[in-house]
Amino acid sequence: MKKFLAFILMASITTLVACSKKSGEQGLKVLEYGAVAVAGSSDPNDYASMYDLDLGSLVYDTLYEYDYLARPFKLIPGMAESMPVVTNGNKTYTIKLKKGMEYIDDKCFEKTNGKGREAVASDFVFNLYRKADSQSKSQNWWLFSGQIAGLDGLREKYKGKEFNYDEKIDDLKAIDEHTIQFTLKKPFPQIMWVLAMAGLTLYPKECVDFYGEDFDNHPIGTGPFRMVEWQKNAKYTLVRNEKYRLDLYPSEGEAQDKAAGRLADAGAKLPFADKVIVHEFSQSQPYWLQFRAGKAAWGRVPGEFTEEVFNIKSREGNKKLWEKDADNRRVLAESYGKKYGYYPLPLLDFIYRAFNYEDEIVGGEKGKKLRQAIMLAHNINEENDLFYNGLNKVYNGIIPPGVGGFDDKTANPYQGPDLEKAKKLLAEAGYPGGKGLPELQYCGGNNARTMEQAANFIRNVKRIGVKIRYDAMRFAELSAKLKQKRCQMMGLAWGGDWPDAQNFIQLAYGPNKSPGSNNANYDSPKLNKIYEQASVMPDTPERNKLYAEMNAIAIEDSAYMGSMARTRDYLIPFGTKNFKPEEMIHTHAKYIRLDKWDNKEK
Amino acid sequence: MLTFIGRKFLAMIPTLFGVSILVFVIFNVVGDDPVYLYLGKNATAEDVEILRQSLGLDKPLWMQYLVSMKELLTFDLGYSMSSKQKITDMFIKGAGPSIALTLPALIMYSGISIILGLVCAFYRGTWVDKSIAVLATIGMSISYVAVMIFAQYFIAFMPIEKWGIELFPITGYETGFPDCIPYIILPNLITVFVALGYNTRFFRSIAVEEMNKDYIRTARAYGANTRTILFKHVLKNIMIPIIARVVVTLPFMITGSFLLEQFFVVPGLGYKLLHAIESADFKVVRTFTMLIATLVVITNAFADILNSMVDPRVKLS
Repeated sequence: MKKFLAFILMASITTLVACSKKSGEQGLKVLEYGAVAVAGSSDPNDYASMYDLDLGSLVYDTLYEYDYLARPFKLIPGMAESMPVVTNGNKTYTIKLKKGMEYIDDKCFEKTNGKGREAVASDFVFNLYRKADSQSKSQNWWLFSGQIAGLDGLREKYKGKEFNYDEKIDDLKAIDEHTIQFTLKKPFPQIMWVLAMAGLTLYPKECVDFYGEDFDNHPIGTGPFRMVEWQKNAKYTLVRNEKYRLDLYPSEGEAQDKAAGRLADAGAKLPFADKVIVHEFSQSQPYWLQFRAGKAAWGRVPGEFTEEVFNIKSREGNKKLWEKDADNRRVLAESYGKKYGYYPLPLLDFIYRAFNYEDEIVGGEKGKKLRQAIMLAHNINEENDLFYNGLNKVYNGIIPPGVGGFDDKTANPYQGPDLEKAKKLLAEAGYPGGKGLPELQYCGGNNARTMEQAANFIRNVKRIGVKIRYDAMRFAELSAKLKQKRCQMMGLAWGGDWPDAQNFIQLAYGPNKSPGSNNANYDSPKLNKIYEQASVMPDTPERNKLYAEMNAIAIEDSAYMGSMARTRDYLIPFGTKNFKPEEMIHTHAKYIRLDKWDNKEK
Repeated sequence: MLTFIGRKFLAMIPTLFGVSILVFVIFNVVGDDPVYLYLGKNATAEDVEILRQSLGLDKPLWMQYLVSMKELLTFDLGYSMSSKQKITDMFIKGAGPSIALTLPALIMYSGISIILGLVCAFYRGTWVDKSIAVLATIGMSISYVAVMIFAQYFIAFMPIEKWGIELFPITGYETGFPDCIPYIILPNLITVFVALGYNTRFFRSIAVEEMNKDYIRTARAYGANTRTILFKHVLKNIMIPIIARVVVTLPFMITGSFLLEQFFVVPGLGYKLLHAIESADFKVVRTFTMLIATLVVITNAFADILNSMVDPRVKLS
């Protein structure tokens, strides 16, 4: 018995020691939040998802950044001293860097005994060279592919071989330590958005050389934070980078920012947090519990909890009618309304189904009437009600709401449900009542909701006699199948990389066919021509008109079915200050302040 | 003994060779093509070709197999394509959390269920036996996932929400001892709860069989007390199936509990494997499969040795 009691005592002491570990954090301003997703890479050469950018943007600084409060989006200088000087018919960009920005200290700086050196213009050149280096297996080469002649030349010259990083080219260079200059083949108006992406940062070549493949686990940047721990797929911990450049909280914003108190910190030095812990989840239940337990500075309402969070006024069949306030925003259930503010964020999203345009049955001009018949058999509003609580924005075409070229009045004569018209078109396609038409293959994800959505679609289409088989697969398998053009139909989604319709229309641009981003392999010479014309034009009404024209072509050709854009519901605890949700912006952590920090200080 | 161990290790070679062939065929011949995944959304046919070359996927299959075997045997496994970590580091760092999440539970539920099994056998047919049997059946009937969700909500989350008391962290893990302790208590308790029913039933059945033997009746006739009968005679004689059951679970202690690690966001090997499967990271999955196979073979040999030690009738032949 004595031994047993001694054991219990030891266990209790150990637990207490473990629990008191956090005492070292007392006084630190710790910001915690989470996501039902994981960051795959911290290497600026490999960002492939918004979660990679979320991580990258905190440890790496960018030449330009989104003005945190400005809507519509506006870019402001980050590492750059000012906006670029653009000459030579909008093709040559000269960018001056701020002076004195230093990398975090790390042992990879062998020459300076671990002291991080100043970030200089040649580091940016190195970044682009590394993207062009085929052996570096960059996920981001597409951002600059075909834009700078000299860079394309280097890519070609060293394809599959060891890249010569010392070779100089005229159209991408460091004029001096603090001046970058590059010349594009042709104007690329979206380049500024690209320069605001975390992958286009500056980072030191000697550290890439020092760590080799392990560089991903040692991010060496000039961002507001530096990484201290990374439990892959579980959480990453960052602490304030004391060497971060002078960065001030914005002084201007929208009227609603002022009303929400988001301008109270105007002019204050960033970041506010001393430590940032980002928790990563693969299940929404633990994520949600963690948030509700007060362990996250903000939360996104997972779809399955929507009915718990918001008040439903009534139901009509599958349709839910939500209780709304004077501003037409859904009303939070009482238990949530007492603790959180609500911020609905419409996403720049394109949720769609597509037909493989190269397929013998559903593709090309030959399959057009069949495609249209299938589209007319489906009811996308019902799908929205059933699977998205009726909260998605349903729209026609490939340009989502929120970017130039979108028009809510755009009509799609093939948007269902219209079974009579669908049957007629099916007969005209040569398959009356579905006779003679083999079972079609539809590829998509294997999570429960995606499969249920597919079942709903298949059931709808079956009403006109078209049989579809759903091939559910993991994302890796789906990706491989699409890139090899082995799917007849596919269910996909595309989140905008930057706020410009070009980023969506490029999905329908012929030369981007698989293995490029155009998974539908849609190829319309007419659309391609207009795309090339519009791609060099600045943001003007004329360009938006061309965007609308391309949208109309894609609708008429019916290669894409849809479309929907999600609204993300953000809950913000009352103690969280300055949080303005926006998924195009990845640097929220540096702007957030928590009330509990101030209370501790008092 | 040494001859036996040597023979056991020699016998492992064909088994592991067979497994390695099977694993290679599954991942390199009929599995997903990882190239497309790693090139991202805007790849070109040329990129595909270059990556294929750099991964050695353009080489003949037999050569790919030899390269993969060389990597495994020299522990020069390179880097994970999905997590960008050194694969050996992944395994070394992941084993700790997995063991912390499962080994204490194994010790607890094995110990408790052996005692309960013996008690049930001794009091067979009485209310004690029946009550434990009912509780064990209830424990067996509730799914692992349901217990996890229930415990996470009612034991970890609700006290925080209702009373502001954090009995256990909802999720997470801190590396190293004793920092890890608060994070492993609840997952271990869940495992104990789930495993207790099955194990108690199992140990009860083997103990009951043993209790029916003549020597127990003789021991009773000679006036041996309950403790002596249970812990000196019965326990000693049922050690072989106990060892067999405990030892076969050991490899899975190291490789972790996939569900538990996923729900409690513990960066153990199980969680890492799930992500590797999702990302078609065939190198990691292949290594993992070989690791499990090796551990199973080794622990089986280990079980044979232990059996011979506790029961001299078992010959190491």
